[in-house]
Amino acid sequence: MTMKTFPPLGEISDALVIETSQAAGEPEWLTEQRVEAWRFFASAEPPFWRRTDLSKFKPEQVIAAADAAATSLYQEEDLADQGVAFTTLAQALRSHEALIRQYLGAAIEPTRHKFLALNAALWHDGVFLYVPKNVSIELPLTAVFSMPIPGGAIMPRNLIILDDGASVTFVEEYHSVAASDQAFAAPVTEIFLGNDSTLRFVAVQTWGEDVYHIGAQKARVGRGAALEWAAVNLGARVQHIEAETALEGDGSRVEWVAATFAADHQNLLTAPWLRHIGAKTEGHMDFKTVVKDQSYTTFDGMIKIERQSRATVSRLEEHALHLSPKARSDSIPGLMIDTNDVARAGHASTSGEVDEEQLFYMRSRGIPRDEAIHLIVMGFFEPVLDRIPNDALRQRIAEMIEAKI
Amino acid sequence: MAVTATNLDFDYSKYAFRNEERYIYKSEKGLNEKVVRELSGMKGEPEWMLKRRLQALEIFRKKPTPLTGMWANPELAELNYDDIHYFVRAGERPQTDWDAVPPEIKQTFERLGIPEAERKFLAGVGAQYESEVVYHSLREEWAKQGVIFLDTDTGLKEYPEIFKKYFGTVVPAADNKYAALNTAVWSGGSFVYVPKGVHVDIPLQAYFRINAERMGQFERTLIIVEEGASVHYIEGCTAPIYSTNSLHSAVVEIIVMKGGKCRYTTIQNWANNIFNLVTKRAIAYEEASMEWVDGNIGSRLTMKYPSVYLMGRGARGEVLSVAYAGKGQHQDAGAKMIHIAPDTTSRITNKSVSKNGGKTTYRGLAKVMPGATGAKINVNCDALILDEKSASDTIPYIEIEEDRCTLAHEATVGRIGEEQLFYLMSRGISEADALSMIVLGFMEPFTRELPMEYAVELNRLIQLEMEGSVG
Repeated sequence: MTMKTFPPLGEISDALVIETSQAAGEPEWLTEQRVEAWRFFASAEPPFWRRTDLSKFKPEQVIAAADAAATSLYQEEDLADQGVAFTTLAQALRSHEALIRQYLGAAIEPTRHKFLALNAALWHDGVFLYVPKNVSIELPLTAVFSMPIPGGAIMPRNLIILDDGASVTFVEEYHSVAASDQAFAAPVTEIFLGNDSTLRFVAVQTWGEDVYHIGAQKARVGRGAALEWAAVNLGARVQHIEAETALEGDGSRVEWVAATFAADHQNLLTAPWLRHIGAKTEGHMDFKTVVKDQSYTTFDGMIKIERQSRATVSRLEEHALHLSPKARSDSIPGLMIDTNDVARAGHASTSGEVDEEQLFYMRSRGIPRDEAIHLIVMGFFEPVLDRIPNDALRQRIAEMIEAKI
Repeated sequence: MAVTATNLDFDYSKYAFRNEERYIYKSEKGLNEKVVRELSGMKGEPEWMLKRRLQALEIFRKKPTPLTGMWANPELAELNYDDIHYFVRAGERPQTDWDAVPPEIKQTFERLGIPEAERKFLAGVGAQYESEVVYHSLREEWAKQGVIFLDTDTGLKEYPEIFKKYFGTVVPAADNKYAALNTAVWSGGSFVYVPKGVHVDIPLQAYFRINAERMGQFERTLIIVEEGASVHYIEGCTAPIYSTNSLHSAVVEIIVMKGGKCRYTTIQNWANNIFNLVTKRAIAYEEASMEWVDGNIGSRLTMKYPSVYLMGRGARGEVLSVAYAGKGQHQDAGAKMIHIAPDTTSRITNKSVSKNGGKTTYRGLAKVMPGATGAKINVNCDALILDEKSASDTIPYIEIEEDRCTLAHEATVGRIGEEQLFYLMSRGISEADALSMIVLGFMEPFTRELPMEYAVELNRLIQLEMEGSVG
């Protein structure tokens, strides 16, 4: 497989960004967007993140992919006759340019920080999924992103659009075997749920331990639409994911679960925002974290209830389990409430070791301590694993978790 | 049934009296080395204190305003440091005799109820008028027990060794911008020393009061509780209303030795134009107990996060606080618990009420350091928002670096339940009374920890605030 790449970041100029875009036959508006984002990237200060360790990150070593070779798409049935588009974003520019122009960047502002701008400037990998009005797809659609070369860099851009009444399951997976060189992934996923649509979204990050993963995901949820979002974070050396669900339409809702397991020296941060904007929106978040060895995780969450929202229901559960004395977990379960028209809002957070009583109970039933801990951790993650639609993937994740314990 | 609360601005007229200003010394507005040198010189301070002040002034100049980005408090931009008097001395020397207190100051105290409190069962009264304590009394038996309860300036003069040993060890000047400011220009406050094994049964009280327009108040309190000793200190404030911004920036340092107990109670009711930026921190050693009971009713912006550093095995920390934010107010209050030693426990309970465009923020930190095995932390935050104009933020930082510990955090945000209201009103209680009863009930876990006269005063304040809350 031949791989096209950009030169190292330090040698890219805006002229090269323009040239590459034009050579790929991209529309002019996109070339402009890319070069604008590149200029922002080139001039902006790196973001200051207290809880994400970029001290050893070497941006000069980043050599970004210049084609979509790292994107693999899987579907179990042919959906073309139903009007469903499921292809790389680069390909879709030829068939769905108008939709892409309308939605690209409409959820995630590329100038929020440097790395988002980098994605907007240099993306080539990425998936485009469009499900037309009232079309319902049973079997999951999967996009797998790999690291094309050891020490490489990819910046996938994913655009998921559900028209009114559509229903689909989409899995995005980041996976590589460990390598020794620094690798880098900066994916951005924008999701749009039309009125009364339903999306089951599964995001799985199982990079090798050489990867820096700095990503963003945002779903904008329309009237009466329902989002189920399950995230699994097991890999990478450093992870920084800013995720957001915006419940914009009246009666929209989200069930959001996540499992993070960090070991060795991993530094994994997840920053989920749940924003209530419409009336009678409902959000439930259940985030589970296990830390082991000298790893460090951060849950930097926020529930924001906007002034114009009404009769909101919002609940966050967040639990961290410590398996080693030297591991660290930070939790910041924030609330910003700008109205009193709240039906119910609250959060609960716990941190600590494996419950001694549970352990004692199991050992009194003849289960050895190590095995009991295995069972407790697997049980802890079960609500998240249950939401993975694909048996083989669920099995593989369960095995990875087992191996980490 | 629409429940809206309007016109809930507290009637300050009762408290908003203003005595004619009569000062023996009033510094020029603004802050510079000359002001600091003059201030220190007038107090006849030792050289080391002047040096500390000047160092702190440098730190203050260099330190940025705390909090940036999403969490910045934009109100801080209204502060003009050059428009503040940094030192005012009213009356000549701290008084020990009530008769010698100037009559208009006495009148002020009368309205605040100090002499009454004195007559009743209060023992020590440190009353601060302007930047310095002018009246101070201490019961005979405490003096015999070796308990020291002085204004901080006198503390420095009479007990230089104890003072130098502890001053600035709990809150160093470099801790934050306002701690640096306080260290540079502090004046007044209380100095409390409780010797080994001594139990002070009756609370020590100090009233603080700001009376001059554009005058900053920078009291500094240092409390040392020796091994096995115990004390309850009460600080409460009321202030007149003025149109321009005033600044109150205090530092409170507390050291509780092995097995000692300290409770520090504050009812803060500054006028709605005052910035109240306070650093309060305690160190608790082995088996010691530190409790902050903290009520925030007044001020334009309060930023205050009482902290306990649990340094010895088995130490206990507690913060129990309420915040009430009305029109134009932002109560940014919280708590910090730092678990450093094993088997330490802490509890944070925060209740906040916002109405009429007011905003409350709970900002807290619960941290377990490596080696603090068996640490237990419990955090509870409840916010009540009374109308759609008001807001509440909760920002709890939790940092756990130890596996053998347990932390539980709970927060709820809500409005007054219509069922509750309906029930009360169906019993013939008016809507206004019902609202006020519900708010008082919400705050009850706090009020029941207050000495009786404070509980009464707080309930009265809340009732006043709730008057006319039915729109």
